[in-house]
Amino acid sequence: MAKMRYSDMPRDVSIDNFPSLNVSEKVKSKAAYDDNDKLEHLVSNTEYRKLTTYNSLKKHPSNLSTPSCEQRHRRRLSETLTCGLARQCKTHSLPCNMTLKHPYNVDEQDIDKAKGVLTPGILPEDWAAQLTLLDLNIFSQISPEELSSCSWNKKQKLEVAPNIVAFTRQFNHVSFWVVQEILKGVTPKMRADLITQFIKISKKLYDLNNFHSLFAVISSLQSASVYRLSKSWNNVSKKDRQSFDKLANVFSESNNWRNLRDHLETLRLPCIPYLGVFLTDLVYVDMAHPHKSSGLLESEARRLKMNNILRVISHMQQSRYDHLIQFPKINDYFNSIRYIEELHKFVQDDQYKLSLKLEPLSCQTDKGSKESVNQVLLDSLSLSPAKSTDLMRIRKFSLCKQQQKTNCSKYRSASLPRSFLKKPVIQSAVCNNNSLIHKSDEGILSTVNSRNLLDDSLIEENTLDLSNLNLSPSQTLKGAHKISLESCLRRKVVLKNGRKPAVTTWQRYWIQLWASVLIYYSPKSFKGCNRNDFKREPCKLCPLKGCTISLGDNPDTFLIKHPDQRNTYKFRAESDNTALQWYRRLYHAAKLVHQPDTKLPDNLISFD
Amino acid sequence: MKKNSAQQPALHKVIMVGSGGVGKSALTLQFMYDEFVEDYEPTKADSYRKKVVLDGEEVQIDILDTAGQEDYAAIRDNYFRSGEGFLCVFSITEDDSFQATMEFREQILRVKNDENIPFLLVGNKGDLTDKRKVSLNEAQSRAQEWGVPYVETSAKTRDNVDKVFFDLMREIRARKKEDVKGANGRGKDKNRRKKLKCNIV
Repeated sequence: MAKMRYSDMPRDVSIDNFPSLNVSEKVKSKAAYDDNDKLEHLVSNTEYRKLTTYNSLKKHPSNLSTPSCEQRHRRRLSETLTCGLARQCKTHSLPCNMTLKHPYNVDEQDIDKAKGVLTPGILPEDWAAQLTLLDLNIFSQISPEELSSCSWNKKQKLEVAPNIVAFTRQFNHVSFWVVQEILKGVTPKMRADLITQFIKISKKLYDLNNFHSLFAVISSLQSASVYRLSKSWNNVSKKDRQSFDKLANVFSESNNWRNLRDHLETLRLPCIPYLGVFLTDLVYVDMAHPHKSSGLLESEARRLKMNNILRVISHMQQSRYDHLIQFPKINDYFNSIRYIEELHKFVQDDQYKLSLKLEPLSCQTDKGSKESVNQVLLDSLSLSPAKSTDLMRIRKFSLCKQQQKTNCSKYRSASLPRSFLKKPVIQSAVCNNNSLIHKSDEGILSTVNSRNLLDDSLIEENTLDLSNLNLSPSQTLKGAHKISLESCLRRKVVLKNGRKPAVTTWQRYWIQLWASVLIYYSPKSFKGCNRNDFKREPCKLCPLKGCTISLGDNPDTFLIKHPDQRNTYKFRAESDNTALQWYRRLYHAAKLVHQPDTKLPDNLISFD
Repeated sequence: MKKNSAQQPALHKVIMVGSGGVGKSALTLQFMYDEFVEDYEPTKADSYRKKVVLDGEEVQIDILDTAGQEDYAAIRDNYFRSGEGFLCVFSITEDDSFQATMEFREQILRVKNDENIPFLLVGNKGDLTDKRKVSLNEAQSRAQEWGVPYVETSAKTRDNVDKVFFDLMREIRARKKEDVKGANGRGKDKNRRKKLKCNIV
């Protein structure tokens, strides 16, 4: 298990960093301990109390904020003992108190990807606690300079305001996860259960004063993809819906976020605020009182108003959640959810498509049919790289089709890149290639390969150059990702729908190979082959599934053939060497996804 | 429109959208406070609400601008839902911000489910003509394609600042009138509960 994890997840905390642990290699649950240390590293800012043992809790009752907390520990402990699960971390080589280090052996089982947030044995408060610890770790690192720079949304944001960016990404990561989880529900009832679970988690987050993750969850429930699922919402109990409305009301933007501001004022620490409102305030102060070296008066007002905000934030940064307990498994699970910030738009579009598929628009009786058709079209067009022109075309197209169809895939326009619409759902930008390890009863390790959600491909560990695909947990958290190869390439159509086009030209793109997907960036100008000559936002994604890669006639070219779409593209690189490098990588990447589909992955939804 | 003018002037909810750094907050501040920007207090409940006279009628404008929160992509859907009209702002000196308007428009249409939602495309930083990257032609043709007006503003010189807000309010007002007349009103997504009730079949 330990071995798997290490090969799976290169991380910044290497084993060398904590040789003092002195735990026998034979220990089956070693990985779990390593995870603890990783967490300890992650949460170094909070006074990390180890994975609090029942004993230490007894010794330090002050760590417990509420009596119910202790009750839970007791309950968990007894569960652990009665379930006999303690064997999982009991070895002779460990000091006896180590056995008790995991009063939560109940959770030793990995989070079931299929069940996700509904994994039995993991309570809403556990999820809430984990989110809170993750949030606090980033929140407490934000420096006043980052805040006063007002540059967290500018180009140099990663350099100037790294922690604000990380905090925002954590927010987006969580909300992405929530939507993704809910859309996993195949029936309205299942989705309702998931929604209910998230409402419960929200309540716990509210109790913990964690407004950051709370708003992330609430936003997801209000996102276009989830909000419209009326059949699912109808299955949510009235009581839970009321709780949700109440919580959502905290984040009402009316009256300049009055509810949230009032609420924050009356709070006592610990608390993790929703930072966004403060960020807006800072931007406005910055704008109202610009930084001027000459006018002393102006900078006085600026300083005063800025400091007022910074003081509030810095006060909240003193929050401690030491009584909360780390769940390495939940942490691993969060880290295993791949999400690339830059591809947010694609992700959101895919989620919306999935939502339309689950509950087609026709169910919504209060919408005119024309609007529904437009909506469907809008949806199908949202992935188009050449949106504006397609918009026109598709609108015309829509007028031809009078009868209302519910399946968005019916409205595929020939002008849209086929690769987007090939699969019923392309879970773009989400990749999960951590192999899940299930401990069977006999203690034999069995490996279940999960899939690359980008292209539905099976990730085979041994055939994969893991260094290209795996992210360290901290990297994933920040939304960073590894691109195995990227460069400027010229592309030409050789065959389109099996036919040779009459006119074809070389198009310049910046292309990145991420896992087994090509990410295209269109050029900003007519010339230039450097990264900055291309747009920052990707214009299309192209999974390599089923593609054949071959070398071209000239040494600086190679071909990608999409057999099912009968499209062939020729690519030209800057040099022969680059072309060869691309060929090799692509060949490797395409081979990966040729693996036969053996088993439905836990993290992918089937629609059949 | 006189229906409830006895008590409260009509309230028009305007939402500012656009990438970071295009000058949304500058436009808002200019419109709200003009030269009295010292009065601005970030946390007051009515900091973004103002009474104005629109064609002889007193109305209230409520501006929601999430400048600084652009990267919190997940919160957009919900606040778009509450908007009655949108000022979609980009900077004429930055092509990326112009490209981003497309995404905003799409998202707004998706949430509002209404192609005729009051919407203005606004090219800000009009004073920086020497740094112009987005041509007037390009912007106009996009606006035309969407069937929305295009206005160039300068928060710095205050060019067209009032115009964009007033034009948008006029559109919102016209739209509300239409909805009252039609009574079968579109875009009544405002209340989820209401919507849910409609759907119980």
